[in-house]
Amino acid sequence: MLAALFSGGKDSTYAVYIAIRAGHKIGCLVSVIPENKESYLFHTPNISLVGKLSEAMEIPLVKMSSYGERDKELNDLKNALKEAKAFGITGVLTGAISSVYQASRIQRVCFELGLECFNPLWLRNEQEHIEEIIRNDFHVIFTGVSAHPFDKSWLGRSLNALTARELGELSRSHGINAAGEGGEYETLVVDCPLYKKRLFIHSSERVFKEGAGVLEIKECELIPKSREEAK
Amino acid sequence: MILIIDMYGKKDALRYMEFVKPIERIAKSLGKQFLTKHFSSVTFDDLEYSEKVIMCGTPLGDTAYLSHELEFSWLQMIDKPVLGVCAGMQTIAKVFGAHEEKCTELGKTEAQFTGKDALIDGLEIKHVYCLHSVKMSLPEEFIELLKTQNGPHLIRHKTKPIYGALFHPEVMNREIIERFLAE
Repeated sequence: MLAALFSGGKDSTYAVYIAIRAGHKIGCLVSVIPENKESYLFHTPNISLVGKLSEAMEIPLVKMSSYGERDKELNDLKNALKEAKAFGITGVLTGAISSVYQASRIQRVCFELGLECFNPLWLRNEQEHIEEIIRNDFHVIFTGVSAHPFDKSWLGRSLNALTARELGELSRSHGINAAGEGGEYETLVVDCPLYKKRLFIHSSERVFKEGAGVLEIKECELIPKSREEAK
Repeated sequence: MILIIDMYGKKDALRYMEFVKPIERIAKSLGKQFLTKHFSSVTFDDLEYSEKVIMCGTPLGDTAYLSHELEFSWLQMIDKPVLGVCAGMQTIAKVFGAHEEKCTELGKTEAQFTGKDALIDGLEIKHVYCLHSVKMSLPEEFIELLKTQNGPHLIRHKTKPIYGALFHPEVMNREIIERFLAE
């Protein structure tokens, strides 16, 4: 039984998908909610939606607030995982792809708590990774951008064959990590095969200044999937 | 063909994705054919038909391989290039008589060269990525090529092309694996 570190973004959600397909059970999702938007470890835009997404997946959520300061974040994560142990977990699942900073800190916390740490996306080819996510029916939208040449127009766009191709081009022309692993962009999964209901966004606002921006989701709800979608 | 050996103690697809698949990707990127097998099912035919062997790492805390020394006795006889990564290095060292000691190193760790070899010639390695809870002494038949403050991290047999890296070159310093495969 695993606890999945969960932000609602494509990588943490896809890691859950892979783990379940590999036969693992997810006892709970764990989200650390940073009050500091510049959190070193934890994804931030719209992280307040994790409660809804946990409901969509019908997997319990352990939520912990954090000031988002460099080393205190690890203590907050540790406390959240201690709480998650009540679900009978023996390991922790992450969506880390290549961040040595993030991965080694989480490994250390897990080691100290006697929990195994699983990183099934580790060292994936970023382009192949995003294409695989699309192929597996994940509906992902861009909710944050913070690197040139991303602009306001990216906020709210879907990750699809076209945007994946553009990311590949930006990777070659501007050195952007195609999976956004360097924090170039952030995402939100609004629907995927794990969701029993999908997230419908009624209203949102693009906020962009000084080369960075977020899609602030103002109003949203979980709605039933059609029979076709539920397959 | 490259023989890639999975060293995990308990079969798990997620562990394979994290510790074996990255090595397979490097081999694939170099156009190398490979065969991946768990250490318990490696046969003499597998070794005979392989041009080189890579022994992969395992998750922190999975050290079951250290109690399966007999299943790695082929290391004493093989004359083909072998590269052991983390668990693979520990196993090579143990088969050649090293002793193990608890030592946890996690993440980016400072390292320095202590020996010379074609595998590292011209590389600038100041840091390595570590993920282990056990370190090994230097076996008598080996020389040390690189160390951290906690001891040998890259070793080579004195007369055979058998290498062991206690760190994970697939994460940082991937050139080591590329050179090993390309040589």
